[in-house]
Amino acid sequence: MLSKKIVTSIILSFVISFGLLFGLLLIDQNYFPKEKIIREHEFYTKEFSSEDNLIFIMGSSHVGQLNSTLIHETISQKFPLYMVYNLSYTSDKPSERIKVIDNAIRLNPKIVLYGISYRDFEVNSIQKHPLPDPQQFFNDLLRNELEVSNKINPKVTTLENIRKIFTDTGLFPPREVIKLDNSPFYNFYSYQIVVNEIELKQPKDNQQYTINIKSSLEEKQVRDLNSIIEKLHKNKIKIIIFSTPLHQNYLDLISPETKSNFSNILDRIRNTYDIKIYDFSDKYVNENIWFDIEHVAYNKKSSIFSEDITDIIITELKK
Amino acid sequence: MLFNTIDFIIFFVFVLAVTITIKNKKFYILFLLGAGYFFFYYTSNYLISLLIFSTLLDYFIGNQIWKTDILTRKKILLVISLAGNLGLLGFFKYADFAILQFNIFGQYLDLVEEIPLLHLALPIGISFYTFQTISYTVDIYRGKLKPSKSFWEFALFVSFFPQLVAGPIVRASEFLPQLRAKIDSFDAGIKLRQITINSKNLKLGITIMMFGFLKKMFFADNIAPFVNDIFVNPIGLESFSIILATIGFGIQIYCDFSGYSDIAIGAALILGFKLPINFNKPYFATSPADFWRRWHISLSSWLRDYLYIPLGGSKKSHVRTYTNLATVMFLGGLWHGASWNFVIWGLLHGSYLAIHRLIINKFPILNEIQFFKTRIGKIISILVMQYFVFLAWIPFRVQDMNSMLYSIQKYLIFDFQTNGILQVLISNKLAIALMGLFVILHFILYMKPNTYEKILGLNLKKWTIFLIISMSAILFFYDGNPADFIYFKF
Repeated sequence: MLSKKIVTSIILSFVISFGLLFGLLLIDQNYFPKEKIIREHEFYTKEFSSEDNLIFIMGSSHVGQLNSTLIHETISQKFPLYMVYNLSYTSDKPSERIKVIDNAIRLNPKIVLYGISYRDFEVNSIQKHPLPDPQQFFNDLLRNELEVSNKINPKVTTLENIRKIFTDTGLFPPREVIKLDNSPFYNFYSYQIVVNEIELKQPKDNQQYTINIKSSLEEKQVRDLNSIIEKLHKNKIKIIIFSTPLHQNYLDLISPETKSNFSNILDRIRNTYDIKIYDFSDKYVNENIWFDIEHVAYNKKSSIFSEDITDIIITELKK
Repeated sequence: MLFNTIDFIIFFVFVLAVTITIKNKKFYILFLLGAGYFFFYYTSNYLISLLIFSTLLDYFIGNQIWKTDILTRKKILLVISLAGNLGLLGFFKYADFAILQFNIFGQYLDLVEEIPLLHLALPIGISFYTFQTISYTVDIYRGKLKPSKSFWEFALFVSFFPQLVAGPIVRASEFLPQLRAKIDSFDAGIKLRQITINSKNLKLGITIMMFGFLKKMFFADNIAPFVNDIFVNPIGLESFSIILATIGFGIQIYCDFSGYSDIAIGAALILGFKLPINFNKPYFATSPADFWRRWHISLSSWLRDYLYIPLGGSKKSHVRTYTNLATVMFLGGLWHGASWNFVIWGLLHGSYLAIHRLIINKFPILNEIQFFKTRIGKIISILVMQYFVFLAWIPFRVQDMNSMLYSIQKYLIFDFQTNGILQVLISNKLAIALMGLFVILHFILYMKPNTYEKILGLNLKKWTIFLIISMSAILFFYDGNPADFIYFKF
């Protein structure tokens, strides 16, 4: 027979350990993304001179990997009145970007370059298997219905607290974070190495790259991207879209149907809004410039991506 | 379904809750069978058809082998079973590897056309359940096992969810009698709830599971980023970084795999089934043979019983014995995955076993030397053995041939640079601290082998504190991204 005391012990252990965890997360200020909000506020309330001509680059971590210092310096040498900022966020999507686009518009940039990729239009609930998929159903239930975030990362909070406790000992100096002046919302935790081809073939996280998108323009991410474009147009801000570069192994994991849907979405945007769209998705598949299969490394050897973006801006400015 | 996800916790609690309320023995078997199929279907979807195929094939053939007295017919049936299971395994796991090798070979022959790769999905757990079903049929063929009395019992043996996707590889002779004993107890009038989950099993099972979760989520997952950082591009690094990452990977893979085994054994125990142990402090092995008696025991004993002994084992000539050892380890390496690095790993271990056997055969007096039986002799044996075991982990982890050869060179020929040593120590404090903690705990467990019993003997208050500390360690160092178990790929 089952002892009620043992069952009670197990339940009590769960309650106490989870209670301790959530207690720490709630008390610890680092858990909430206040830092991001403060930095946003600092940037968007910054007083730019009326002579400053701003160029913004936007997108997710795919775009965040750009060397904004290199881009800005190259542009400002040729066009001294122009300033380039990379406003990319990790995990950005059109549905997130639209929440802050008005802040960017208020600064009256001349050009906005928006980098997008398959992941920006990802639809989670598309069937990956021929038979019903209970795992997908459960994940959707957690994420969409119960709104349980999968971004909780207690390890970061724990390590930050360990750092705080041992600050005086010098045992845990502050983490070395590379921050670029022209990328206010994006950090590199170290100078990134270019990963070799074999490692890029490791199938460790394949599941997360199995991206599906629908062709419908009614999908939320597509609608939000359209709204962003319309707002920029309404304020007479030029927008250029580019699809971000991906490694061949990433592209191999994307179905022909999804590729076709992505292409159709971009075609319709191009035709509807008369926008120039550059396709970088397979431009560097043979280059040795990758940090992982969807990110170009932040590394001297990988500057080709930043240089190409610079060329696009120069082409536009020469017009 | 990954053990280290909320999905599994909910699933397991549901299975337990239903199991303790079941009063009908047939429903009990069917429920556990259904749970196993759901567990498998949850992540493998349509690939469950392969599991069902393997189950049907071996149940039918096992019965037919038992019924017939004609040896030739028995042999033909056995060959069909082997062809079915190994064909399934070979096709899904090795087809693309074979095509790739053929295409590379074709380039030397100037063949114009290449065979396109099939890009088949690797069915999770196929290496494990096919080995289980093969052992069932072979044991019946050898007359060591009677066929299962019912199809449902056999299907439950194949699909019992705790060990379904990454072992331990359970023999029918270990599992079916336990199931039968429960059914017989039920027939004898004992209430089913008394023969399924009981307090002692629950407490021991939870304790073992907690050790498994600690190994996987606290140690393995937190050491992995350091190991990945080093081996993602090791070229240019000095020896200390390579050696430390190699030790890190050795600890990571042990904690990952033995952690999975612990969770499987604990979960099965809570449900009233004893699974065989899979690891027995392998990093305290004193010889290659000793290592394989301690590492992935269910696989090494399977390879011994169903491959090494049929090949002649050590009963033939010395040369034949060495060849058999190398062959078995070559295939054992290939079992882990369709890649040359696993083959190299297997061959390295094969060569360790063969060379050790050769030395013992040539110099039998070595067995008599008292020094190796002293504490210091034992320590030296352990250190020497582990130096070679960890050397073999390099090809297991590093797939790129240049990186692998570079890492091996730095592991064998020391080239320490102060700057590199300081850099790696400063940048990876957490991982290195965890590696140190693991070594201390592993040593304590080695010196005091009855730790489980001691924890089991704790009063409820202390046991609850043990659970809270363990759970908190896991939760506070969880990075929000449940990582796959390494052995899921095999």
